[in-house]
Amino acid sequence: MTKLVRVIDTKRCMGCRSCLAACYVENHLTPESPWNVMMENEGGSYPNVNRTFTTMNCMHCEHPACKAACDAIDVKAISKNELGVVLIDYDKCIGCQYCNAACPYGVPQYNNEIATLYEDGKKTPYEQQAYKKRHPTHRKKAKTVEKCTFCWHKLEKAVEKGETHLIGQVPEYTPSCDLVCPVQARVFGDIDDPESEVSKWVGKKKATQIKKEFGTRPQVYYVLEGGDY
Amino acid sequence: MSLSRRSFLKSTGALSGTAASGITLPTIARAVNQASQNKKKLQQGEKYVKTTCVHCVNFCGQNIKMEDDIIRVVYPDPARAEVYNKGICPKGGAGPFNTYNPYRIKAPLKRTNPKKGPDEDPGWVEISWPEALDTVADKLKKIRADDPRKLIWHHGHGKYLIQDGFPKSFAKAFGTPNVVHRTTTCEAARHVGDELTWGHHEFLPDLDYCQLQLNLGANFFEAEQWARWLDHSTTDAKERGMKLISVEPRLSNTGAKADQWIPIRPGKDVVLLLGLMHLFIDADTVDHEYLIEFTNSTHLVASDGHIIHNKAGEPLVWDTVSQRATTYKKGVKPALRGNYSIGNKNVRPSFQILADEVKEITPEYAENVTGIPSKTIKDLAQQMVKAAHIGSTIVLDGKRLRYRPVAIHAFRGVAAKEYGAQTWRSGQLVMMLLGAHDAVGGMRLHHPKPGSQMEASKCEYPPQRVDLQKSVYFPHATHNVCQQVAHTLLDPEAYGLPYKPEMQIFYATNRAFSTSDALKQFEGYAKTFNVVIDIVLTETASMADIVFPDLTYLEAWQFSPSRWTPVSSHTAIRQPLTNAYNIPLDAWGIIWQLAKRTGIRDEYIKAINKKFKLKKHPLNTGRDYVSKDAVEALWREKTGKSFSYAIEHAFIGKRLNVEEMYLHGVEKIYKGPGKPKMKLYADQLLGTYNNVVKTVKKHNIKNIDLKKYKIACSPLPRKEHAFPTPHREAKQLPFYLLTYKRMYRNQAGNTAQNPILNRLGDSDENYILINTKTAEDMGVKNDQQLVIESRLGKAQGKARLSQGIRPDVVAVSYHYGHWSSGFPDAAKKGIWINPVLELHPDVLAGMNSFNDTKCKVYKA
Amino acid sequence: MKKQIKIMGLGLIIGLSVPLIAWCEDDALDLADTAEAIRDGKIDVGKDYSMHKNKGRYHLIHSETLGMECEACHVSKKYAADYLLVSKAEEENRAAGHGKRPKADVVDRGVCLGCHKTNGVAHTFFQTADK
Repeated sequence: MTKLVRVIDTKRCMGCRSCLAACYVENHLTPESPWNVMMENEGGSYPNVNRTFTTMNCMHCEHPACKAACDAIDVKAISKNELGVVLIDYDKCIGCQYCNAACPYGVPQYNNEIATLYEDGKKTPYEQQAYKKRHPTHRKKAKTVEKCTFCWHKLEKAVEKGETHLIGQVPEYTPSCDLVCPVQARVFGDIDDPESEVSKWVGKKKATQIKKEFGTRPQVYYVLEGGDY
Repeated sequence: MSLSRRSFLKSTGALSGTAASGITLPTIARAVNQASQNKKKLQQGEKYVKTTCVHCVNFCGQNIKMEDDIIRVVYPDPARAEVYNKGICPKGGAGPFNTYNPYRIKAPLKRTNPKKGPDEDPGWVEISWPEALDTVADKLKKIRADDPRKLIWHHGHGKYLIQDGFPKSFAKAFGTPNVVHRTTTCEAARHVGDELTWGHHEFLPDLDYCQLQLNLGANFFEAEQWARWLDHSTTDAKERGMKLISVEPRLSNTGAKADQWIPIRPGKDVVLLLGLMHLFIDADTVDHEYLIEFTNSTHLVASDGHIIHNKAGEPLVWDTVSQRATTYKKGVKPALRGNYSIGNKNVRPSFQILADEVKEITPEYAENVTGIPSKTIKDLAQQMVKAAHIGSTIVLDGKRLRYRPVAIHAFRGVAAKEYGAQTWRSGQLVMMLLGAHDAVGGMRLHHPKPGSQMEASKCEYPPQRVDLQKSVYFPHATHNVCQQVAHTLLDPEAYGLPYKPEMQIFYATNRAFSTSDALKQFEGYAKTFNVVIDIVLTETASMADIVFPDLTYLEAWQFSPSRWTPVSSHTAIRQPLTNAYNIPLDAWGIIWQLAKRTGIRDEYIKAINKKFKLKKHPLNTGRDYVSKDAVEALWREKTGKSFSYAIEHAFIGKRLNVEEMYLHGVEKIYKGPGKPKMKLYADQLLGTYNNVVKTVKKHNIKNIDLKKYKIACSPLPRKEHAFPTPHREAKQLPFYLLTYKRMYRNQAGNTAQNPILNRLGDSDENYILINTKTAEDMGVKNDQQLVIESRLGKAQGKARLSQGIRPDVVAVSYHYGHWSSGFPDAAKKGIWINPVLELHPDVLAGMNSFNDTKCKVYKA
Repeated sequence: MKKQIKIMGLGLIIGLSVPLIAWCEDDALDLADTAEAIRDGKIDVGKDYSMHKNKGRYHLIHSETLGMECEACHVSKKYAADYLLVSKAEEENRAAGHGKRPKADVVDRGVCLGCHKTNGVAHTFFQTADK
């Protein structure tokens, strides 16, 4: 089996938010509905102070609470595929936001409108890219909920080409946030492969999931430096 | 302003589509044709283009995904990881939106309101390219016929957008000495401190082996010149076990990642470093061998402070074998310590003078000045000595090398001060005492060799340059004194300038906005006819008579700058991906057109060939070129590789071998008898001071305060260098005002409009950072409006409470609060702090004093 | 039919299990019955699947039918829209007014855990038995 996970080493993370910028550009940011955020947390008191950086995106849980909530009302807009990626189908989504309410991590983001990036209200050539030319996950719809896809549009190509073993190992099959990190604070890959970086980091660096009490079994792990989760 | 922002955009947008149509010149036609050809090529669906980022000064390798004609996503170039960047920063990732920015300048503009000032509406009207080029060229012709020195060319980021060899060649052909770059708003004093000490500038820690990195206020986990190499290399080193200690008044993100944060009172680094030297010397934990063999520590100094020389002009040392003064040659064992007599002269080795001078800088004294507990200072000294492994060696690749795995890093934090050069010299002296230069794990110096800065300055007068560089005013300013230009313009005669400047061209710089005592800059710029070339209508552009649009770094060809590292070097290009607003010329093309229309094109070509040493692939006179041609010539000349290789890979680089890394620097240049020596004791500054005194007397110069120059020209760093003017004169103001740079903005303003960078969470505005307890004592809460008041003026903004700042310091990042009418509201948020910063430039280096101001703070 | 069920123990405190157990002993049957009745359609909570405060099923179920107080889930201040995983400290920080772009009140999902865990009275969202 292939189970895709991300490991984020907050000891290496320097809080630059490059992963956010890359995500926003890669995934056609809907302003006000970010798929990736950075939390800065200050602790201690002067002069013994710490500041920690934790970047957050969808946990792609093994038991996604968002999906359970969506299924419970029979909307079934949320799926979890064989590689473990949780996706929202904008065409099925009714915008009820139950998924957001259920997610312990508050991941799904409701967007009221597809606003332009600049305040002049006009679309740049980047925003003008036709929907039919975009991957379905980038065909954003107002009044629906969206979230991180693990850059499914990239992983899907690995599936098409029968190269899922290369996921997380070559740039074209690696989520953009993991690709751009200036300090290699994050890795992506198959945790069922004992030779993968993610497997090794979980072992060697003692990475763990957060908010485990909800039993959703997140597929994003953290090497924690402190702070508050 | 008569033209509102919206109508301005509407009108510029309307013209942009047809901007090229009215031009018949073959060069422009070629450029347009080129742009449309590129466009056609790019319309074939998805493809990747390798290029080099010039959003900031790190010049990271990028691999950019294009979909049809659209710049879709920016990735790091995995191939460049070996030589520089492993990832990209958010500026790089968000870079396409500098290009797609609808608020860009899209057509040439002409000012209709003759009055100039921050409060004046320029009354922009659009004009055609030929009209704009001819207007400027006519003015240039007149100036050239009269006195070409009256032209001043400025660039800031422009230096990196095109190689500054081009504007320098243009200035050479034109006949003006006035090309002004921005280094005195960055780290120029650090460079000068280095040049005075070991002949050249730039250094980096040897992070593959370093065990202790002492960071003095640099913030390479956010923004610094080598940030995208230092970040991953430091992180790897830390994971391997290296300790990172950060000394800074504000807990930066670099401090946040450090193993230890030592909050220091602003401006007092020199006393900390002298205090460390006191402890090293007291315990005799210094690298005797290094000091003797590589530095002038043993040179004998007479009671007048000058080094004693023999008749041949060679410096004398005290030979402990023969017990007499002699030159340092084979068999001589020079003394580091002691008092000696030569005839009737009492002499001491310069190291003895240092030892005598730092005697009074006890840890307790240092605590009093720096605010760092003496125990912490002692502990730091012990950690550094322990890490330095003085006397030890390591074998790498079969070569036995000095092993001193301790390095200091510093940037603008130590440099942007009235005594920046001397402050940084104290850092280099600490490295000397530990013998860490070019040692494995130590501080790697960039091309050390004796240069003119190791001699006394000639103290030129009258000054030839409007920025007074290398004149009696700034005798060791090897870098252009950018903020001085406006001050000279306000009264050229007062500085003895033998001409009165009439015209300034600003290329990709928002200098007036980015400099301390900023309003004075605007006053100065109002005195001349101004031309601005930029992508957005900055505050500096609001002082222009003619504005040209430029292409962005993702739209134009260039032979790109690149950064060396201790382990690698590389050569790179940038290539265009699109032309979002069909702008026919980039700055390179504008310079070309101006040279041509001024009648100096062939002189310009000759100057280019000379400047870039183009021998195999020179540009030919008698014809026009476009920027791609020049990039190709430079690439082929410098790399010997085909241009198709450049287009495919965008760079060529190599990893250095052990010999190149450790044996080509100070080991080769300075080690042992008969070689020049690094200046522990900068005796040339005494010569400089004498020349300043002579020049001032000879020309009866009124606006030079000799007392200030005497302190600045001390051969050794002193405690006086920790007391800049505001610290001495504004004692009644309780707070030190610190400035810093955040990840999400450049200085110039070309990032302020970026909708991605402004949406990274807390990134679209700055704030007044204040210690939590200090604020609570004042009854101030988060986001409450505060006023900062210095002797120069007031600034207002939101309070941000943090435990990560000294209680006697407030800090504001210096690149927010734009007010230009060409900026949308989203780009105008935050505080513009620069007008309240006092300007007391380092008289050695010309460096701007960004971090010396004192202020009071109160609720709005 | 509108039942007022005392669930004041479901405050903003993080450790919910103790008050939940104390409460379950008295009222579990009522709550389970009510939940069942909602699922069976015996209690009409409308067909508007939304977060709408007055019309949406979500609030009709939780606050109208089950009688949960607003404060049981919401803290009084607005949160920023750009949060995803909001830590406890961050919630407090934002609730204290340091947030940006206020959009939605945020609920600590710990409030939901008691009923929506494995074998809870409501739909299972959290597979707490699957450790």
